[in-house]
Amino acid sequence: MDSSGSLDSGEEEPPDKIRKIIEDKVGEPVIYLAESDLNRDGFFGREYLAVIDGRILVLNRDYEIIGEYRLRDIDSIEVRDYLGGGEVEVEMAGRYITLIRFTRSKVDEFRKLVRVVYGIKYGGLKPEYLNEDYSSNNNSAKKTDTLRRLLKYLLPYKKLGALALALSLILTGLNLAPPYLFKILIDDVLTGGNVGLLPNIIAMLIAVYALKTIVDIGRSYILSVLSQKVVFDMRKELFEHIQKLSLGFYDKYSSGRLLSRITSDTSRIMWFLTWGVQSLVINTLTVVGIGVIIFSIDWRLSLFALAPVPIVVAGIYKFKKKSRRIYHKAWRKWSDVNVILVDTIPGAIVVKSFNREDYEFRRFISRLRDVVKANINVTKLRLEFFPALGFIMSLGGAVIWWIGGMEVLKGTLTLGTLTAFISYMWQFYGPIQSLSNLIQPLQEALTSGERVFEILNVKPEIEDQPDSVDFEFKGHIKFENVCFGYEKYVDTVRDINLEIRPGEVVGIVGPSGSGKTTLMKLLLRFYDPSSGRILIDGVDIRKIKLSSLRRQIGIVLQEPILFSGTIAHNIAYGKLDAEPEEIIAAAKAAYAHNFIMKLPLAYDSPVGERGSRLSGGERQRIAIARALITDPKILILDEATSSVDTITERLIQKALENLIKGRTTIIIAHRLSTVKNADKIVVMHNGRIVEVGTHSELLRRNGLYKRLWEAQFEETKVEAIKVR
Amino acid sequence: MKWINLVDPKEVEARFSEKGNALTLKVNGVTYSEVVPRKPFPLSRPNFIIFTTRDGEEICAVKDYTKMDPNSVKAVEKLLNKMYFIPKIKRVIALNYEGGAYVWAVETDKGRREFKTRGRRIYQMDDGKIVITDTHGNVYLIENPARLDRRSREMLEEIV
Repeated sequence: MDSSGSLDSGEEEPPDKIRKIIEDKVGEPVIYLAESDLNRDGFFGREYLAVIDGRILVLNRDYEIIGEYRLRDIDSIEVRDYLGGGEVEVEMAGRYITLIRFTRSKVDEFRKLVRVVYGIKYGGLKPEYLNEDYSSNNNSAKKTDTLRRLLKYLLPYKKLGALALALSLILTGLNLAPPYLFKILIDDVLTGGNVGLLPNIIAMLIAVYALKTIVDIGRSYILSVLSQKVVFDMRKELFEHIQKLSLGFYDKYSSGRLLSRITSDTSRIMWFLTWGVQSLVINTLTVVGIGVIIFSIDWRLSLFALAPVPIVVAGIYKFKKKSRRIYHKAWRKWSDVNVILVDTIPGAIVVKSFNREDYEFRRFISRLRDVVKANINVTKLRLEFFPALGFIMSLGGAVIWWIGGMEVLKGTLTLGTLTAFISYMWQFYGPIQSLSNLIQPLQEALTSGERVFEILNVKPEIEDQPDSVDFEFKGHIKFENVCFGYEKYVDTVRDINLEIRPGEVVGIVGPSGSGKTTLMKLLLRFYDPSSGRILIDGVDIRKIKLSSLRRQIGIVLQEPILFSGTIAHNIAYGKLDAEPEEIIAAAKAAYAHNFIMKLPLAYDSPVGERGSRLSGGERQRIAIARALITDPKILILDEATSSVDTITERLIQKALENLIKGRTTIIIAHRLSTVKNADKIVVMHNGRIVEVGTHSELLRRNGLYKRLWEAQFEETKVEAIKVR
Repeated sequence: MKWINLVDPKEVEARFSEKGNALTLKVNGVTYSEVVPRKPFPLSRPNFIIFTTRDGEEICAVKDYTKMDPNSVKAVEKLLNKMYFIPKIKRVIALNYEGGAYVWAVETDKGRREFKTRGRRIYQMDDGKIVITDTHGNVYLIENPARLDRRSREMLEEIV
C-alpha cells in the first residue's frame, strides 16, 4: 500500500482549531478556509485552501504551506467539476494551475471559496458568504419530538380516543374471563357435581362472548372514524402548506416524493396513531394480566410455562429480520417482470420491427423463473420457522401437562385450575407476536412523521410584506444589477440590467441554459434575486402583493400544463367567474375556437388527465387563451412555439399577435425568427446580457446574435431540403 | 367585445328555413338565410347559442335563446333537438360489469336504452351533472344525481 496518506490516521480537528493553527503560522487572519478530502496525488487525505488578505495558501495535512498565490496575479479562478470529484483551477500568466483536488462531497465548500475570492478581487464580498452555515439542516427533528408532535394530532379528538381506549381495556378484561369460567366449570360442575351451576356458567360464557363481539365492533368503528379524521387533518394541513411554498421548494422535492408524503406517509402515521397505539396498549396489558394470573395460580408451573417465551421472542425477531430481505427480494423480482411488460407491450412496434420477439420472450421467461425461485424461498422460510415455533410451544404445553398432571394426581392442583392455566398459557403467545409485529410499523410511522414534519417545517421563502401594495400596472419593467442562482454561490444569472417600457415587445434569445427562463421566474417572483432588484412601474416587486403581481403578468409556457376538467374550465382557470362569451373570445383570440367547436361537446369536452386527449398544439392554444382571459398588462411567452409543428406554429404565431397588442410583452424564443420584429432583442450568454438592440442593429454588430442567426439559417435550409 | 358579436335575444328573429333543415335569421334588420344554431357549452350552458352559416361563418351569439320570441324558440329548438341529442337519464334499471365494460340499462326522457361504457368515460361536471359517453360516442346526461331514486343512486355510486 502506498504510504502517501491513503489512510487518514490523524484525528479530526475542529475547524476553528485548524483556522487558529494556520493563523498562528502565517500571522494574519484567515478570511476563508476550506478543507479538501483528497491530496494532490489523488488519494484520500486532507489539504487546505486558506484565503487571507491578498493571497491564497495551499496547505498539506501537517499545515505546511505547499503553495502560495497572490490574488493580483490570478487572472481567473474556477471550480472544475468531474465525475466523483473536482478541482480548483487558477489561470496565471496564461497557464492553468491546480490548487487543490476534492471529491463531490466538498464541491459546495470550494464553490463558496471561489465566490469569496472573486468578492475580494473585484469588490462586493458579501459577509453572509462567510457567516452563513449553509450545510446545516435544522429541519429534521428528534424521534421523541416527532412522537410528541404526532400525538398532538389526537388532541382534538380526546374524547373519542379515550372512549376507544376504554373499550380496549374492557376487551382485554373480557379476553381474560373465559379460562376462569372453564376452571369453575370443570372443578365445581363437571367434577364437583354442582349441576345447578351449569346453566349459569354457560349463560355467562355466552354473555362474555356476546359482549366481546359488541365491544369489538364498537371499538373498530370508533378507531376507523378517529383515524380518518386524523389523516384528513394532516393531509389538509400538508396540502395547504405546500401551496404556500415557493417554486424553489418544488425544485428540491420531486413531485413523486411530495405526492407520496401526502398519501402514503400520512396513511402510515394514521395507522400507527390509532390502531398501533391501541394494539400496543391492549397487548401489553394482556401480557401483564396473564402473567399476574398464572403466577398467582402456580408460580412454579408458570416458570415452566414461560420457559419457551425467550426462544419464541428471539425466533420471531430473527424471522422478521430474515423475512424482510426475502420478501423484498420476491417483490423486486416481481417488479422486474413488470418492467418488461411495461416496456414491450406499449413498445410492441419496436420489438416486432427489430425481430426481437424471441429475445423479449427469453428475457421474460428468465425473470419469471426468478419470481418462482424467490417465492419458493419465501415458502421455505415460512416452513422453516412457523412449524418449528409451533412445535416448541406445544412442547412447553406437553411439559405442563406432565408436571401439572402429576400435581393433579397428587391432589395439590385441581383439574379446572390446570385447564385454565393451559388456556391462559396459549393466550399468552398471541400478544407477544402482535407486539413484535408492531415494532416495524412503529419505526416506519416515526420515519413518516419525520418526513411530513420536515415539509411542514419549511418556511415559505416568498411571502407578502405587511406593507405590500396592490396597484394597476402600466407595464414598465426594470432589472437593476440582478444576480440569482438556484444553488447557493453559483449564479445562474448575473449583473442583469434591463429596462422595458410599457407596451414594448422584447425578445430574449440565447443558447439553452443561458438564464432566459430564470429571468422570467424572477419577474414572477417565484424566486427572489440574491442581490439587486426588479422594479415594476418604479416599485420593487418585493413590495407588490403576490396576488396583484401574478394577476397582471400572464405567462404561456413551453410545455402547457392543463388540469383535468373541461376545456372551458381550463381557459377560465385564471378567472373562475368568467362569462361564457369571455371564454369564447379568449379562445378565438388564441385561434382555438374552431378546433374546440369541432369536438362533440365543444367547450364542455373533458381534456383528460393533464390534457392528454388534446394534441400539443391544441394544448398550447388553450394555454394562450388561459393567459389572455385575465387581460394581463405584462405577458411572458416562454418558448411557446418550440414544441409544435410549423403549421400549428403559424396558427400560434397569429394567436400571439392578438395577444401582444397593447401589452408589455417578453418573448423568450429558441427560433430567432419569432422575435425578429421585436422592438428590442436581448441576447443572453452564460447568465449575462451580452447584446441588446433591434434585429438589424444586432446583425450589424457581428456578435453572438449574428452567429446564432446564421447557424439557424443553416438549420432552416437543411430542414427545407429534408422536407423536399 | 371584439371577438364575439353577442346580441340581445330580443333582437333576433328565427324562422324555419323554406329549404328546410336550417334557419332564416333576422338580426337588427339584416336577414341571413341558411343559418344553423350551435351550442359551445352543450352541457354547462345549454342555452348559449352561436348562429353560424352552413359554412361555419359566425353571425352572432345569444346568451339565452329561450328569451327569444316563442316562435323563434320553437324554430331553433326544432333544429337543436336533432343536433344535440343528449337523453337525460331518469332511472338506472341495471348496471353490470361484463368483459371489461359496464353495461347499462336506463330509462331516459327519450325512452328505454341499453348501452356500454368502457374506461373512464363518466365525467362529473362542477355543478354535479354527470355526463356519460358510451362506446359509440353517444352522450347521456344525469342532470341531478341526487334526485334519482335510491336504487339508481346506489348503482351509480359504485362507479362515479
